[in-house]
Amino acid sequence: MFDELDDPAPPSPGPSVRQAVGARAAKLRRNRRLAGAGGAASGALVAIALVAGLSGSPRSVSRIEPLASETPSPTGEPTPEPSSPGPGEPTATPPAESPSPAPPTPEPPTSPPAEPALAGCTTATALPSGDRKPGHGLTLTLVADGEFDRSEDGTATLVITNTTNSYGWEFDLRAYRANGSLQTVARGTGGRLSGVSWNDAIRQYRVVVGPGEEWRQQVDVPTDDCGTPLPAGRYDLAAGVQWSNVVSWHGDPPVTPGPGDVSVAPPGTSSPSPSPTGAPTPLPSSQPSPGEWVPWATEPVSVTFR
Amino acid sequence: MDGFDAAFAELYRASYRVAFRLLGDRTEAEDVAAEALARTYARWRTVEPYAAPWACRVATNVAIDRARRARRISGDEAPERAVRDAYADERVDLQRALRSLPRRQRDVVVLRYLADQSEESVAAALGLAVGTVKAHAARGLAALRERLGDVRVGS
Repeated sequence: MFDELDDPAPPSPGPSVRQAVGARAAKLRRNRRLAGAGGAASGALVAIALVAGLSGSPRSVSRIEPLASETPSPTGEPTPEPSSPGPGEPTATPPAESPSPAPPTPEPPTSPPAEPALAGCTTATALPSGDRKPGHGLTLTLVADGEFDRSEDGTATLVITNTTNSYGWEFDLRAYRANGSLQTVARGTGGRLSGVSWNDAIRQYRVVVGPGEEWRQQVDVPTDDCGTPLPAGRYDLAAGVQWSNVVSWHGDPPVTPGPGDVSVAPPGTSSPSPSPTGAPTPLPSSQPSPGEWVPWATEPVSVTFR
Repeated sequence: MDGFDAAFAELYRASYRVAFRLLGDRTEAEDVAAEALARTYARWRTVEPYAAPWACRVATNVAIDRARRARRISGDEAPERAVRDAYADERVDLQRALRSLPRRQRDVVVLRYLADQSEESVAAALGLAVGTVKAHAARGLAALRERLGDVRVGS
């Protein structure tokens, strides 16, 4: 279709190009590792400090257990989408001017309201407040690079940390929006409010976090807004999920690690002594009934789109 | 990374083609293709199953961003080049038209028509049904025709 725009004599890449690509890729990987290490270090410090203070036996383990019917998406890149977009699907939101950033608005847990279509885009709604969590001592945070290149989708890491030293939690986790996207809300300066939806960044997982453990999932951060790069500047990014079907226990988890489990215990640390593994305990009365999905959101983190 | 080495020439060719179609400048297109391949290589393990469309998408984003920055710096709609590109205006219009498309529609149009990927390949790369790709492609093509005119957007 655009053949007339082609280079009539395209170059062939030589060994020098391959070498330069390798060097640049190594630098990109290094930068990403550094950014990730910074986030991981801060998260680990919180967990270790709390656990060490209580038991003196820090441990940090990531358990990522996609449900059998779900496949986790490739992380950190432009990703496939599970379904076709249509009315109501979050894609991205054109910045809407408002006098001041709107506060997050609690929404029904299972069926976010339909959002008005706008020239092929849909308006992302605000995130819920992050007060209600699957278990006490659990924190949900978003670890993101400080800067995003607007020419490329960015990445961030969703981290669930169990800050207790004796309680474990197992629960289902899915995207905040019912159709399978993790939603963020980016608020810029000057009252600009942009909704950014992370399509296919997270699907549904069975999360297991024992005492002092972490669960991590890398997610995508689109840096455009309805086909147009978001304006350069600083934004506050937050992410929302929903949880359900919580089981809690005292001591080590009553499950064996699956093939997806990745141990990230720092060298020189030891796992806590096995404590009597309790059977799943009944949920406190304040917990939602099985099958009910409860929204949960991170606090916003400040990032710069450049 | 043997897979990457084996695919390198083909990925470079595809990325360069997309970049040149958008930019019309050989040096710029080479830079963009190299950058797209570096980003692909940096995430090879993840993107290997759909490396070609992924690299083309990156090349498109990088190319459009470079063009926009160049215009911002020069203040011109079409920056002057050492050798005037006969299709410079068409390329600028194409960049602008692509930028105006919704994200998913742009992805499909870029991969289908700018990178010349098959509908099946686009569907696999984006995780969409072939029918959905067709629908996006049709809508995107109609939008491009509206912005660029029937003559420049052939069938």
